Amino acid sequence: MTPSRYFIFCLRLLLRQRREVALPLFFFLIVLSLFPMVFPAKDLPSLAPAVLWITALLSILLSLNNLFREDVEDGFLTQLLLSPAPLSSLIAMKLLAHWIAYVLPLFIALPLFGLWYRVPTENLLVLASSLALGTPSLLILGAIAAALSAGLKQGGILLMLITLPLATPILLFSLTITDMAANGLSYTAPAYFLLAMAIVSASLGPLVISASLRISIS
Amino acid sequence: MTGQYVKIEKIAYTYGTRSLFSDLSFNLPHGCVLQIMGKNGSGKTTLLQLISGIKTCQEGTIFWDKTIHYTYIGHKNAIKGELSPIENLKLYNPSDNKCRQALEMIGLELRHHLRPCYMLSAGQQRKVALSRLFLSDAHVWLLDEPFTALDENTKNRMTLHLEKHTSNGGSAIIAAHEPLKIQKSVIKKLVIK
Repeated sequence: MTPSRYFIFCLRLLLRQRREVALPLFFFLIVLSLFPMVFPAKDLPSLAPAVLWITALLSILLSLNNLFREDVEDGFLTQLLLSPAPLSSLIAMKLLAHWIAYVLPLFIALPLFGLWYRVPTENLLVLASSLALGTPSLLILGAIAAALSAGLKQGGILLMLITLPLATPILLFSLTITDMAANGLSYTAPAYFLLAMAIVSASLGPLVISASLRISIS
Repeated sequence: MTGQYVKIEKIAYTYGTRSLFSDLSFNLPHGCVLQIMGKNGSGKTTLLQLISGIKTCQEGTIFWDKTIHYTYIGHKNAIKGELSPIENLKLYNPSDNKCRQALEMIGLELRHHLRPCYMLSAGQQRKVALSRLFLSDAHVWLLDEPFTALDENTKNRMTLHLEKHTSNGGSAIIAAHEPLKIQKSVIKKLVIK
């Protein structure tokens, strides 16, 4: 088992599980569609970044519920643990495949979101950039919680309880980006902070997840 | 470690307050099958998991010959139902031919090779899991209840593969309830009470 082969394996598996993969995207679209129905149209552009980010956060958390649980239940995790390739590299590949399958479609839904919330194209691009910078850290944070709760029956709630408070800085910095951009200010500082978080999460996250999974299984 | 793949010294494992085993020592020579026997819940799976490194020993030491490698097939099949047997096996070996050969060696008919595994019976799924043995050149096979759900024909086939493996110098540690019907290999038995 090599990391590249495992990456292809994960993508192929996610492609076969397209019904499950589509659910968080539907959740994302349905929740986004609720706000324009209950808020006056003039308030929507100012609400848009917060609504988008909170909905994206919840939809990512929804997708993480089964990230490792299935592997624990079908015994697949033991094969990952015993693989000659480092577990952290396999985990990194799994997370990359998960981001492609679950998070990338959120970007494709952005034009529709712009239309519903009357967000100008330039602001939409800033929102997309903030999502691109923030979602990797968000996914990795959630994956750490998913790994810790993989062996538990009610792991879904624990996943939310662990991730939501930890996700707050990412949410705040992402919203700062859109806020500063809307006011014509340079938003490089919060963008660099999110980028730094993404790099640190991507470097350390798989190691922490590997250790968490080992604890979960033993 | 001359002539031994694994040497186990005074290991112990406790679940909560219940001691599964303690002061357990044995070794696995080349070309030998070690059968771990014991009633349900006696700790056969735990012992295999300790040997494989999935779990860590609470006491004692397990010495592996560092120059060799091993394959572990647990009592769970570790296959993905949405993928076909070939797609599952390609994770371990990218060659379609090698994967097909492995499935044929365990006796899974060609017509099942490309069907999603969830459409296969429990026995056929077990065959897919066991076929991983033939994709690795592991010196030691660690098998947890390998014969579960298998028909007599496949059990005999698997026994022949085990005999061939040991005649080539390989070894196996097998947790199984039923006594193994191996005739041509040296069998050691370890009963956990």
